Amino acid sequence: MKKTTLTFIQAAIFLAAHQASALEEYSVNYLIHGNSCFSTTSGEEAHYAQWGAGAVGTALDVTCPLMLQSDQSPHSINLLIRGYDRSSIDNVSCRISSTNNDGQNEISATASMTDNSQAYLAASTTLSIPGGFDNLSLKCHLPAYTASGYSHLNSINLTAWYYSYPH
Amino acid sequence: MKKTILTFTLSMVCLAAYPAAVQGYYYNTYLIHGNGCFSITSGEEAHYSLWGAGAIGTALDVTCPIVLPDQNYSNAEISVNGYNRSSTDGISCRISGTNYDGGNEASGTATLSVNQQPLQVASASVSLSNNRWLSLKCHLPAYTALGYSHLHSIQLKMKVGY
Repeated sequence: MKKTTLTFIQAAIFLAAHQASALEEYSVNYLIHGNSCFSTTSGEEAHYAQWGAGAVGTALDVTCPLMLQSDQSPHSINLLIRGYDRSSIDNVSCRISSTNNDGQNEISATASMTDNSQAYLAASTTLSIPGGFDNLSLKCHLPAYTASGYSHLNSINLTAWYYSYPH
Repeated sequence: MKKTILTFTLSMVCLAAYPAAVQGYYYNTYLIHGNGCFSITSGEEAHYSLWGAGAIGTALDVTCPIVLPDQNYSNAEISVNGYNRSSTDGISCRISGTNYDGGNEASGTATLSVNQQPLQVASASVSLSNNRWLSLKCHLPAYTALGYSHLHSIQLKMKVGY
């Protein structure tokens, strides 16, 4: 019995030690509906529906709030956007950017949909982030309404990748 | 030696099986201040104070940004806290979930009673499956002689799992 108990404890210690010693990569995925984004184009407001945000009269830019956990810095961000691009001359696009704490050393990556499609589209990009530059912002461009309808930004998946010891 | 190996194996199986046996659901709750919401009514802007967001001249609609970790959500419930100072119009908030392309929408609406001075709370919920991209829109009555109708805060309670 004593030997059995000892072996069980050894097994548990082995598993715990294995987890603690492995530097693992993990990710956190965030969901953002297009209706969370708001216009940054002076005098222009977005149109909101169940399909998300769209521009009305003229093309406009929106910014989308981000709220990532701050206990660690991601080394990489995957951005996946989905929407409807009903313009033949302009594209729904989103730009993820990262700066240091005073807004400098900006790096960015842009995901852009192909234009003029009736079906929903998806586009993605990846931003690699040097250590410490993890002040993220997300801006998107919405083409103007056309005879084909609104160009809607439906949804955003933002996946932050971290190097860390498992919690 | 054989017994030791067997016991070790059984121990590993026991440790591995334990998480699989623990299933069910739990809740994550998020607090959203009314001041996080912004107008989506053309040409109208909200009034903001420590009591949250309110309409000024005319009634307006606002949307409140939601950023959620991607989890296996099965339900979303909102509890809306506010002051409804209109006798003809009510503060209401509609929580809706869509899938990734805006389809499969499901929603629930919480409405405060009209013409009340004290703080009120109203709740609504929506069942979710793949429609876990959430948006939250609220209606704010116009300013009256009794004061602003303020959307003070929203508690968003997410059920994770089934």
